[in-house]
This record gives sequence, C-alpha cells and structure tokens, in this order.
Amino acid sequence: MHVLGMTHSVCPVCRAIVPAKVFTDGRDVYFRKFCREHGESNAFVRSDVDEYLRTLRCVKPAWVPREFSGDAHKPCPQGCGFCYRHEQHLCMPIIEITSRCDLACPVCLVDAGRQWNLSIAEFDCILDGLLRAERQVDVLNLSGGEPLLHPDLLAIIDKALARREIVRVSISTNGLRLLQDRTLLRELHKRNVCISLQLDGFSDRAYELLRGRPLVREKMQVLEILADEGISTSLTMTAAGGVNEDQFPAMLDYLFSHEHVVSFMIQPVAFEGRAASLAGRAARLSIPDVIKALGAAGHPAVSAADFVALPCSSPLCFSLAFYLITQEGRIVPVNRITRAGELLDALANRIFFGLEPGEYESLKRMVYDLWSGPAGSLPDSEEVMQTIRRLIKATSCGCFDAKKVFTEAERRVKSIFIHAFQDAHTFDLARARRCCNAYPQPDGSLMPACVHNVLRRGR
Amino acid sequence: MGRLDDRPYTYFTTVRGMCRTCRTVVPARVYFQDGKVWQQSLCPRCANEPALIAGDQQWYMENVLRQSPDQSPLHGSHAPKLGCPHDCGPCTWHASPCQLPVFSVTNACNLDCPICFTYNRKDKLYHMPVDEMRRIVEQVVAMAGPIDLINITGGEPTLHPQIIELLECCRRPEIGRITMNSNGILLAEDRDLCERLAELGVCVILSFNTFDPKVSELLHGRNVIDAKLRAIENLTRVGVRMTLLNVMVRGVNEDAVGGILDLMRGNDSILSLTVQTMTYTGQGGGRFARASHIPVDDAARIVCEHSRGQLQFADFMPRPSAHPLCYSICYMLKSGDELVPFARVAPREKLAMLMRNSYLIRLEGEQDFFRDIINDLYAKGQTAHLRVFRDLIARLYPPGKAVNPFERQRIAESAVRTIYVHSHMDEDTFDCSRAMLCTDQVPAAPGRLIPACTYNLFYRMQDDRFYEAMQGGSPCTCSE
Repeated sequence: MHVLGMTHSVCPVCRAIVPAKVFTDGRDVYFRKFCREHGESNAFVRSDVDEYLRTLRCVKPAWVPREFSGDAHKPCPQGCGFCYRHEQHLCMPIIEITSRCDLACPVCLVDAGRQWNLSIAEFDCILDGLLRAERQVDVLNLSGGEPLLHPDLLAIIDKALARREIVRVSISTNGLRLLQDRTLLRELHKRNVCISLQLDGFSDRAYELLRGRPLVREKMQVLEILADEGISTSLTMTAAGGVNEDQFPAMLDYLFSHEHVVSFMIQPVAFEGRAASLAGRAARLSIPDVIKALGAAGHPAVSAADFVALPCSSPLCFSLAFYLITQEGRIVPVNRITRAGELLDALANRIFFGLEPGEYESLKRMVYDLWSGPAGSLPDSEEVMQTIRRLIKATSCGCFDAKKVFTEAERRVKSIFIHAFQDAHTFDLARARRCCNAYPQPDGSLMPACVHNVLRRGR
Repeated sequence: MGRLDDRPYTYFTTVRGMCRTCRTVVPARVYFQDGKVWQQSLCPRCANEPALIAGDQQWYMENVLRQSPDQSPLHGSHAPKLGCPHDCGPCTWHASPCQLPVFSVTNACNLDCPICFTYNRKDKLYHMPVDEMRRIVEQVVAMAGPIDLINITGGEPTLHPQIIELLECCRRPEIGRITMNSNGILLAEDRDLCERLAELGVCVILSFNTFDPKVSELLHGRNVIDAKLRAIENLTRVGVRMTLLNVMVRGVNEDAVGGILDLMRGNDSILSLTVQTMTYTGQGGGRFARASHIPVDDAARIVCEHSRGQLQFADFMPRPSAHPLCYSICYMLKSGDELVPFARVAPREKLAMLMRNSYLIRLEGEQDFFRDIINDLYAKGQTAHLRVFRDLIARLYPPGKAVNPFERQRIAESAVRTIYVHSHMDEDTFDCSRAMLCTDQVPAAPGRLIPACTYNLFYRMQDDRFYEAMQGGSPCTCSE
C-alpha cells in the first residue's frame, strides 16, 4: 500500500465531515475514513492511481463571483452558498423547478417526497440571487423531477430569457412528455432551448435496472421527434458498470451521425439518494474507466487521448473532449489540432468556449497552431483550417453576440463530457470547495451540487 | 455582462490544517501564487494568515504528487478513537515507522531563546528520573525495533544532574547512534563532561545560528557565539562527533549557513549540518516577530547560495519515508577539502533506495552501489574522485573480513558529510498529510510514539511537566 495524502470526506452512515486517508493498492485510489460515531470505512474513489496524480496537476486560476453569500461562520461545507472560502464561480447552474415526475427511476439522485412546483416568483428570486453572483450565465439548466411537467414551464423559460445575462436555457428531461405534446417541443425550439435528453443507451435491460421499466421504444420515438424538429440536443447518459457500458458505441454513433445532437454527457452513477439501493447491482465507474471504454468503443474518430481534465472545476470532477466537424463532415478531435494547454486556456472558466469577445484570440491561436504546430502534419489540416476560419467569420462579423456564437459554434463543435458526481463514499471536500456546478436556491444561496446531494437532500 | 475577475491565486487542494487562534483542526486551502505555494487555514471563527509552504510550484507538484510507502499498521499501534491528528501514538493510520525517537529529559534551560519552538515551564523543575529513562528506552526499542538513532533533548539536556546515567541507558545493541541536543553553554566550560560524552560515543547536536553578535542576541537573548565556538573546540579535542543545528529565520540569519558549512568542511568531527526552518510556535517562536516562513525547498536553495559555488539545488533530495515538505537531504563524499554530492555521481532512484529507512545511508549489501559509481566515474574520466570512492569501498567491504553494520556506519561517516534540511510544522503550516508520514516520534507516554510536530502542537501542552495550564484551560483543544 502507498499513501497519497489526507483529505476530508463524509461518514457514509451519518454524513459527518471526517478525515479520510487517501491511499492506493498500486492500481486504484481509495479512501479510509474514520467517524467518531461509526468507526472506520473504506471507499473506492477512482481507478488508475497514475492517472489520478497526473490529473491533479491540471490547475488554473478561478474567477471571483461578484458577490458572496452563504455563512462563512459555519464549518465548511455547512455554510454553503458560495461563501468567500469557495474556490470557483458558478458556471453551470441547475434549477430544480418541480419534484413531480412521470418515472420513478431507481437511479434517481432525488429521493422524491412531497410534490411541489416552483412558483414563478420563487424562480425570479433564484435568478436574482444567481445574477448577483454572476455576470453572464452561458447555460441555465432546468431540472427536476421532470421539468416538462411544470404547468408554467414556458413562462419560466421566458422569465429566464428576459434576463440579458442568460445566454441559453437547457432542460434535463426524460422526454416522455414530448411524445404527448408536440406543440411544447415547437415552443421550446422557438426559445432556442437545448434539450438534454436522458438516454442510457438502447438496451431495455439497462432501462429496467436504472429507470425501473423498459423505455427503448419510447426513447427512440423521442429521438425521432427531436431530429424532426432539429432542436439542439444533448444526450445525457447515466453510466453504470456491468449495466450499460456496452452502449457507448451506439451512443457515439448517434452523437456523430446527427447534426442536431451537440453533445454527449456521461454521468457515472453516484450511489446517492434512491440510487444508493443500486449498490451491488451496478458497479462504480470512475472517469478513467469511462475514458478507457470510450476509447475502446471502436468509433473511428474517438480515442482516449482526446480527453482532458477540466481544470476550472476540480480536475477530478470533469473530463471532456471536443470534436470539430469540418465542412466535409470529417470529425477532428480538437485536442489533436491544438496543444492541450491552448484548449484549456480557451475554455477560460467555462465549459463552453468562444462566448467572450476576448476568447477569439484563443481561436485565432488555434488557427496559427494549424500552420506551425503538430496539426500542420495532419492530412486534413487544410480542411480543418477552412472550418475554423468560416466559424470565426460567421460569428465575428458585425457586433459580438454571444447567443449567435453559441448557435453557430455548437453545430461545428461537438463535445463529450464526463461528469463524476460524488456520493457519500467518494465525497472529497477538496473537490467540493472548487465546485462550479450548483443548485441556486430561492434564498439566494448557490448550493454546490454534490454538497446538496450528499449533505442536504432529504435531510 | 462580460467575464468575472480572476482570482489572484490558483487553488490546488484542501488539507487538514489547524487554526492558529482556537487551535482546532480546520480545512486549509493550498494554493499557488507567483510560482510559490501557500497554505491558509479556513477557520469558521478566526482569521488565519497564509503561510509559504514551498518556494517553487513545479518542485512542489513533482514531489507532493507521489506515492509514499504505507507501512501501517505499525507495530504497537491502536485503532483511532477521535480522528487524525488526535489519536497519535501511533494509530493504525500512521504510515511511517519511528526512525528517530526524540524526547525531552529536562525542562531546565540556561538560555531563554526568543526562537524556542517548544514549551518548557520555568516554575516547576523537571528532570527525568533514570528509571523513567530506562523504561522509555525499553519502550522505544520494543515499539520501533533496532534503530540507527536516538535523540535526547530538553530544555538543555546537559543541565540534567544525571545526564551521563541517562545517556548510558541508551547504550544498547539495538541503538546505533546516541545524539543529544545542546546549546553548548555548559560544554564550553565543562571539559570533563565533554570527555564523558566522548567515552559514551554520544554525538552532540549543537545549535549554531550565527556569527553576528547582534543576531545572536536576537535569536538567543544574548551573545553566545564565543561559548559555541569554545564548545566545538572542546568537543573536537576529545573526539566527540557533532551535528551543527542551524535554525534559519527569514530576514535574520540566512547568510550564516555559509560560515557554518565552512566549519563543517574544516572540522572532521562535524559530520552533518541540520538546517531547521523557523517555526512560529512554542514559548518563544509563537511570539517571535513574524516574517514569511522559509519552506524546505527554499532553505535548500539558500544553503546552495551560500555554499561558495559547491552545491546546487539538484544535490538535495526529499527523504523517501517522510513528507517532501518536511525533509530534504544532501549526502556528500568528503574528498580532501572538497565535498562531492552523491546526487552528482549516483542515480537518484538508487540514492532514494539507500535513504529509504533511515536518516543515515544504509550500506549493508550495497557494494554494487559503489561499484556502479566507480564504473561511472571511470567512464566519465572523473579520476579525481575515483580514488576516494575506491578507498572507501575497500574499507567498507574489506575482502574476507566481516564488518558489522554499526562499524560499517562509522567507517562511512568518516567519509560522508550530510546536510539535512528540516521544516517543522507550526499552526500555519500544520497538515495531517505530513504528520501521517512523520518518522520523528516522541515516546511521550507508555506505549505511545507521537509524531514530533503533532506532539509540539497538540500534545506537549497537555503535559504538565512542560506546560503550565493557563487560566482558562489548556490551549490544546482536541476536538473539532
């Protein structure tokens, strides 16, 4: 055994913040925790200790929110709300607008109790709090429950889009509601909403375990109407070991063969909320496992080398790959045409690049790289460069408009994100303190997602 | 619209630190700024200043992001009851064995140094009874097994009326070298005592911080330079081996280390130099005018800067069994007046192997190590050092003659000089990740070996031999 250090985690029984010794058996990374009430426990954290140590080197300066909230006089993370101790701004806000749902997924993080809908007035308060902290919100995610069941959904979206600081709204949905209400989809499209569709693959065995019933037929229908509508779509997959890793090839195919599908988000299952009961039936996947499986999925454009850790969150929380789609339809990993450092600089402290006038400098440097850098030797460098040039031209003529940039760019750059949510086993305060993915609350506080899921939800 | 402001620093991680004011264990942010590494405790109640923990961000990442051997559970360890660092002694989480037992035999001192980083109550004299000493040595041997070193400290150990009997207790086949800290005041006068130390084979760790009388007053409360030089003279005359211990304080005495290195070069009795960076804790240090901490890597750089061109930073290596922020070591071969750093003639991985389990280079079964060095020197045509290595190997491994490990150690130390750079932790720099790997341990109570810095920061103040409980209770709060 070897030690890597000591951090703070939570007791899997009572959720008290406890010391955790970080150690490795030479292959994977584990925590040993000690709780005064409940004694010692071990947890698997991440596979591949060498990758873990390499990943921790990915760091960059964060941004400062305009205003802090929360209570810094409480021990971290009890006073959450992005108090001055927090190490990042909020890049990806998630607002849960309802607890109602038309499924009862065993994998749900939310252990739904009381039925409620967020009121428009509460939603407004949440936006106020969010925009006191942030200058610009690239994507505001509406979630639930099933957000499409909210009776005033469109009014809520209009409220959000009325704020000029909010560039885009996305909705996390299981999609079932769209099968009954085609007008709703059209209305969403009119508002340039991005549909983040829960899609765990194309196998009913996976749906039965993760979602509680077979869903492939309905999901296919949803995909069809999304394609018909041509609405920007992101595929969100909850990945569980031994359950649906075999679906990666089909998911990658779907991503790259449909223009309206702009990204593929993989969330390894966190054994939290209702999903805690899945332990034993689904194996834990960590980010390196997912990257390895994607690299081995047999897709000609995708390899494990395409992925970089996202340094603006904790690098242990996100990995991502961008793919440029050339005019001729060729798929080129962005990591292959620019130096990894350049790519991460271009990301600034957001996971979407090109949304600031200044960030065009990064894109221009990428063009320069194509002439002089490693990409110069690629057979398709000319084609790649033409695509980037056109992209820059299309988005930078006239005055700068973040919304326009977004729409143009997302059809030319597809992305694969892997987001490892934490649970009571893997929770690491060193990660949570840097979280950029939070639930803004009606009281104005911004609750880091994993702090909320592990320490607050249902408690 | 537009982007938010950049933070002036880059967050790296969060460790288990402590609050300087309320002394509870709290999360501490570790971050990079201007290429340096800082740590700042985040206490929900009290404000804490950031402290420098490494002078170079790249060096820090290369060394801290590593796997350290975990030798837990150690012999004699107990299950945790309160959580790190409140179970010390060792608990089953502690990863490194005791390689240097260190403990106070008296709280008496003939100086009152403003830089003293420990507590020694003055109102109630304590001298360790010989029986107690016997019991402790028994305990150390039982828990740590055969060890290369044992360290007796104080207060000022020479003030103990039975110091010779105490040191005699340490003379056992399981203990390699007996070391005793001293400020040298008494040794400057008492030649008899020096002779007794020579007979016992005790190695004296003599504190030596400056050649400047004003600085001496600042650090020790009075000018003690002449006394220390006389102590060196007396000890040298009777053949007592010495380590010079230099506490390096930012902005006060960084330049002294050049002269101290010269002392070592010119005196065959001085085997090593330990540079300890100033810790702002304890009865003196806690009140000493605070300047920036000197982290371990910067201290090594300062030594190089004052080495008259003989040493470079790459000559230093972290100790493999300790945390890289705690120790950095340079082993050198003494070749005439010149000191040749091992790191220049041997591969670092090989050196790390030799340093693995001790403060002293272990030479058992390491003939190949020297043969490789010799072959390499020969191939590179560096004939100047070749003879020295050849001569050394002939003495260390004489053909057809058995040499026991301690004898071999003594032969080696005639030719090897060492610089240890050691950063203790104080309230600002405390980090459980470091404490967990500590190899310097205090036999503070029966059955317990407590890592030195957790002892200084959490446990010594619970010991009424060394700490008079203040009105309002002990400053040690062993809860979170």
